Parts: sequence; C-alpha cells; structure tokens
Amino acid sequence: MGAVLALLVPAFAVAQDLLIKNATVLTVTQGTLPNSDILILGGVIRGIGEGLEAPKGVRVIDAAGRFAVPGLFDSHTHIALTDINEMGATVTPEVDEADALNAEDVRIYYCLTGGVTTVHTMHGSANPIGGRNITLKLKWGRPAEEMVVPQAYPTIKFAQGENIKQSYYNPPTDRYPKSRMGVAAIVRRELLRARAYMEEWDRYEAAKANPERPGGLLPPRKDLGLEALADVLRGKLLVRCHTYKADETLEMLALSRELGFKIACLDHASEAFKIAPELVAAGVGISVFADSWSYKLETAEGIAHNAAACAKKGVLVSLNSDGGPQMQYMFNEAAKAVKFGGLPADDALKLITINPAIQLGVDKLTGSLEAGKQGDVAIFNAHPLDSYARCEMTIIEGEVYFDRDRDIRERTEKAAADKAKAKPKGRKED
Amino acid sequence: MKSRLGFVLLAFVAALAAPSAAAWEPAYAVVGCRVVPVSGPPIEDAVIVVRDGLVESVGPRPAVRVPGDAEIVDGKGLTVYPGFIDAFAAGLVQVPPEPKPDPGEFLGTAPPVKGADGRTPEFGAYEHLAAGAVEQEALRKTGVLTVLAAPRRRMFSGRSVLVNLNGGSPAEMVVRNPVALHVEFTGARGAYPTTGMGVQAFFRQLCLDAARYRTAGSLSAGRGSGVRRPVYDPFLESLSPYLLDGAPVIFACDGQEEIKKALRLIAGCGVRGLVAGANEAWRVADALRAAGIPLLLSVNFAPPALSIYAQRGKEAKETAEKETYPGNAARLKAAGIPFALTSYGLEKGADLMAQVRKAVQAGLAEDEALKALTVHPARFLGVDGQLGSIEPGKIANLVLSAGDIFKEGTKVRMLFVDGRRFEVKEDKPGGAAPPAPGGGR
Repeated sequence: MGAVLALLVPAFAVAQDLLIKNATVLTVTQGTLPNSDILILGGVIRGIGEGLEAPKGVRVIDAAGRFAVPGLFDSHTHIALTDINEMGATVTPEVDEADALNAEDVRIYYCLTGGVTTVHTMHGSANPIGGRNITLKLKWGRPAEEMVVPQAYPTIKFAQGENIKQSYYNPPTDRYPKSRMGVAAIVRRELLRARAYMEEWDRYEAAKANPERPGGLLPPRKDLGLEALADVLRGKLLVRCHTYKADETLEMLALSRELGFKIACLDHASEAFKIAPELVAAGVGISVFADSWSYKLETAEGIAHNAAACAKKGVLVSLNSDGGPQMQYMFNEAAKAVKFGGLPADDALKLITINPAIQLGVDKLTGSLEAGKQGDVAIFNAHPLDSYARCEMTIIEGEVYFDRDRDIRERTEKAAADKAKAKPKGRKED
Repeated sequence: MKSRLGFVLLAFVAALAAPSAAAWEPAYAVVGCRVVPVSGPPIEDAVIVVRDGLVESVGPRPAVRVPGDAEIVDGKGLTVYPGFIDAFAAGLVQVPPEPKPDPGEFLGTAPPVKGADGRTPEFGAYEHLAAGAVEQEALRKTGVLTVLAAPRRRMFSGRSVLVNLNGGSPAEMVVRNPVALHVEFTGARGAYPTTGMGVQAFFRQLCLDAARYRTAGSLSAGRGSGVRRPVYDPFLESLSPYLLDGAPVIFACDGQEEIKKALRLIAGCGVRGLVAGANEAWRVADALRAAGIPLLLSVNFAPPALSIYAQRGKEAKETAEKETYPGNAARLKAAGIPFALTSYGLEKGADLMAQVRKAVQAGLAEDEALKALTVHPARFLGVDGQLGSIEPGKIANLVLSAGDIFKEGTKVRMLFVDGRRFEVKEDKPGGAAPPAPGGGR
C-alpha cells in the first residue's frame, strides 16, 4: 500500500532547498547570466551569481550546458477543473472554479514536462458573464488547495462573440443573447443591476443605523451573483474577457469605461493588432495564441504577427494554450513571436513568464529569476526558443516536480519489471 | 345508539388496520449462546430474552431468568450480534426513471426536465420504498436488519427513511422518517445549475434565501411591522429544516475533491452534514479529522473516475481496487476518524458484508468493523437509544450466526427483527428459500 501511495507524490519533492549550478540563467528581467548558480532556500531564490555555495545537505543540480529560465506561465487554460462552463444560465458570476478543482488532472503533469509552473485556469466562454477563475501553481501530487496562488488577482470570465451566440445555436433555442449587441446589452444590464443592488444595501444600512427606524426592517436579498458583480464594480474582481473581433474588443473597453470596471486582460484578441494604440491608452493587456487563426469565421482576420506587433507598440502581451496541446510547448509558441514579427528573444520569453505574471498581479512572486522571488525554474537542454529545446526539469518553489531523467529511468525500470513478471507465465522464449 | 355502533365499527376497522406483526409474536429466550453486545464485552453461555419487539434481558445464563412463557431457542454454537445497519442503501428506493435525453434538449435552454431538475427535496424514500419480501430476505441473511433507504437523484435528491427489515408493511418497518436530506454534486438537466460548482453556489444561495424567507415570514406576521408577507415558496419550505434548523444533510461524495466540497458547504453554511461514499477518504484524513463530520463510508473499492488511481491504465486501476481502496477504513481508524460502513455505490446491497470482510482483510480490526455496522451508524443517525447494541430496552434486532461473522463462510442461522424471528434456510439451487415461520406475508 505504501509503495502505491509513494507513486502519487514525487519522492524527492520534499525539501524546498536547492542549488542549481553552472547554468546559463535567462532572468528575463535582468538579462542573461552565463555560467551562474541559483540558490533557493525555503522555496525562495536567495541568490543568483557565480560560485554560490549550498548550505550543508542542500541538493545540488549541475546544470552545466543547460539553460535555466523562470517557470513558464500559461495565462489562459482550462486544466485541473471538473467543470468549465455553467451552462444552466447566461449570467453566472456566483460560480467559482475554486469549487471545481481537480488536482489529479494528468494535464498538470503534461504542463510540467514543458516547463510550465503556473496557470490561470478559467471558466469557459459559453456565457457573457461566466464564473470566477483561479491561478494555480502546478504542484503535481499535492492537494488542490495547496496549488492555489492566493496572491493572484481574483478574476471573472466575460465573453463576447460567437461562442455565446453559438453555444446554443444548434439546435435552435430561445436563449438570449443570439447577437453581439445582445451580449453587450446583458453585460450592461447586469452591471447596472449590481449598481442598484449596492445602492439598495446602502439604503438598508443607513436605515438600520437610524435609531428612529420602524420595527420591521427586512434586509435586502443577499444575492451571491450580484455580490460578485458588485466586486467587479468596486474593482476588487477583475474582468478577463474572451474577445476576437476588434470592434467588440473596443466595445468591451468602452463598457469598462462606461460602467467603471477593471479589465485584467483581454483574451484571444485576434484583431488586437488593429487597435494597439487604443489598448495602450486603456492600459489593458492581451493574452493571445501565437499563430492560430481562421479556426472560425470571427478569427479569419487573425495574423501570426499579432503578439509581436502589439508587444512592440507597448501592449502587455502574454501567450496562452487555452488548454490545447500547446500547454506542453509554450516555449515553441514564444519562439514564433521571434519568427513572426521579429521580437527580441528576451521579449519573446516575457510573453510566457513575466507578462502573464503582471496580468495576474503576481510579478513580485514569480515570472522572472530574481533574488527574493519564489524559486520557480525550468531547466532546458538548449535556449528555450531553440527549435530543438526540451525541458529537462521543472521546479516550483524549490521543489522538483518534473525530472526527465528520472521519468525515463522509472519507465525503463518498470518495463523491465513488467517483462520479468510476464516471463514465468509459461510463455516460451524464442 | 347509531353513534355507538359507529364507534364500535370504527374501532373494529382500526384494529384490522393496526400493525399486528409484534402483537402475535411470542416471547423468545435464546439460551446458551455467545453474545457480542458491542456496548460491552462478549458474554459466553448467555441468555437473551426478547419480548414485544424489544430485548427484555440479556446476561450470563445463571443471572437471567428464562420466563415461563418464552419459546426457547437453543443458542448452543451460535454467536449473537446486534442487527447490522446499512446507513446508505440506495437500492431500496424506487427512483422514477429520468426521461431519455432529447436530441433537442440542450443544457440550460430547454425547459427543465421534470424529475431531473435536482429540485426534489420533498421526494420521500418512504413513499418509494422498494423493499419487498425478496429484497428484505436477501439482506437479512447477511445480517443487515436496518437500512437507511436513501434516494440518489440530482442535487436535492430527496429524504431518506430508516427501516427495520421486519417483513411488515412499510409503516411497520419505519424506525424514523424522514431522516436526512440527500444532496448530490450532480447538476440538473435543462435547469440551472448544470455543474458541481453551480450546485455549490446554488446551495449557498439557498441557505441565504431560506434564512431571509423565514425572517420575512416572521416579521410580516408581527403586528404593524410594515413588512409584506413573502410569496409562499414550497421549495424553500421543504429545504428549511435542513438548511436552517439542523436536520441532517447527507452529501454523496465520490472522490476526494467532492469530500472537500461537502466539508466546505457544511462549514460555510452551518448545516449538520454527513459525508456518504468517500471511498478514498483516507486521502483527506486531516481535513476530515478537523471537521469531525460523520462518515457513511462506501465499501465499493473501485477508484473514482477522477482519481489518479483510475487514470493509469486498467491494470493499475484493478490493482488499486484490490490492494489500496479496501484499506480506506483501516487508515481512517488509524487516523482516529469514526465511520459507518455502508453499501453506497454497490450494485447489490447484499454484498455489503462480503466487502466489509475485504476491509477487515485489509487491516480493519474486526471489532471496529462491527462498530461501523452497529453503534456508529446508530449514533450518526440519532437512533443509538434504540439500535446498535444488545441491551435491555433496545429494539430486538439480532443476528445469530454459526461463529465469527467476519470469518469467510460463516453462516447466519437465525435473525430477530423487531423481536420477530426469521430462520435462514440454506439456498437451494434453482429455487427460493421457503418462507421462514412467522416471516413474509
């Protein structure tokens, strides 16, 4: 029994102390440090430099000839969840992906094999106002609640365009909305409702404080959905909006100005390159695919240069997998921004490290290799933007959660053991 | 005169309709048996006197007088246990089948599918009890004499009933009704909420709504309060005892994440919750110990679909089912967490004891297994004054077996349910056992 349990938790992921020696360190924010060491103690980076010494007993990893980069950050995915879309209604701000965590989704491990250490995992795009999202560190083998990054911005999913219209398109139903203007109207309607709700509670609190109040004072109904939207209006809950076409992306910016809510980031935004100045002026970033477009009509005008073009114009850009197979090769995705649009390598790496961390308010914790930040490191055999790069080891807060050598060794051993076990069954050997 | 005749007639009809099972059952004295009362140490060469549905006396042979009117049962070679309690038996409730999904049915947009909308808290297991003579006989001969018949539908499934398998009418069988509100994390069809996270959000909202509904009701009833009466809401009325007043809520939980969901709702909403299922509860032992929530553990050892044990291929899954999950109860015991063992998730409720034996083989002490079938479920369900141990004044639910019940192959010879005697006939191939004397009608 004990042996079976041990399989669940990486046997060596117990200490949070680690010294990585002799790596080419791509700090992302402070340039490249050749032949340098990273000392992580208690899960936090204590120093980066040459000739660092490990305190006694601390595991040392020789990374000579290898590249150490910040653990990668997938800004928009749908892994590690039991539920994605609450389709029972069109407005569902009361539902929370924190209630749908699934710590044993194997895709967590797949992400680790590609150097991803942090994800923003989200409600789906079936509803104009969906549920709340959550940011996780991919601590495979640990309970779900230990994966949650409590410092990350609380975010809520909004969505525009065809997914809302078409989630219920076929067979035809009478669900509202069926048009882009319907989506905008619902967002406006619901946020105005939330404003009225806040005012109703304010009136109640004032009445309660009045010593001359009449005997029977019934509190207003506490509505968990409107509470969440009130937090959106208060700026405590930030919007992540699924959007494709430039006109509706602009429309969402206008709605945020009109109603006074904060957008953490616009997701997909395949026509962002058309409106980069407007995005810069609004101070709103985007999270996009590297080179995926035309998979539906509303993405027909997407281009592979979107990320690079926007980044060069000063938009805060991140790349995401949306839960697709790219989750395992986000570093290849970043390289595409070099190929298409000529982004400098360090800036391309920012798309999958510090930029998504800024978008989620955790750039003081992770997203670059700096003393004082959490020890989230991915070690590659080559520069991660190299076509032949592969991730060798993934470390979260000083704990090794993926080790390619160990994986291969264990597989070989298991195959040998299985073969040995199969032999006594009287099968003839040829 | 006419009215007097009417009264007599009425009394006669009432007598005909009155429960009669206990009335004509003789008193019994089981003499020379070994008694495992669970509430105390075993008693060798003992006498148990059963009268009028209850245990009249129990003790070593010289200390207990055998009443002259009692039918003597030779207890030599027999071990007597309190009747086992299956605190989550879904198989004894006839749940109306859900309509097949219509190709045109699309979640959230079609009208709610009647009976599949998760809003059936008033559904009573008592009114839908499917415990005929055959089903009862099958359970009795494994020693299970009391079951919590539990509805399993969607979200707010309905209410359970605790029954003794005494062969009587449903009314005669009832020990307590209703017992608990049953909640599933399975969302509704064609209605909000469709997801588990939606069920949790909805549950929290309903707790708030029920409280406000009650406040509004009581304020409006006060003289001159100026508060208008709330619109009558049968759904909230039906939920209120459970969401507001501490009547028990049983959460069906498959997998560790669902256990944690239940614990969050129980703590967050202040309901009196129990967790059922939970066949990988050992994986959240710390949280369970801290919460102190009663567990109605399943002895179905198949890893839940989302578990890592179910995702590493067929062979690994079968190994986990054989070697890992049967150890759930033993690990919980080692962690100091009390539990009942139930047939939750088993295809056949009658397999409960066979599965419990596997838990014993996987390290659960026999006396702990026994408690998990007797005193613990009785306490969890609030009937420990009546059931769960062999003591004078308690319900005479007794299992008489030819030796240690946890030993493979030990036969149950005789049973008393509500003081009524049932003999267990050997199974004949190709035919049902003949009805026991005093049993079945």
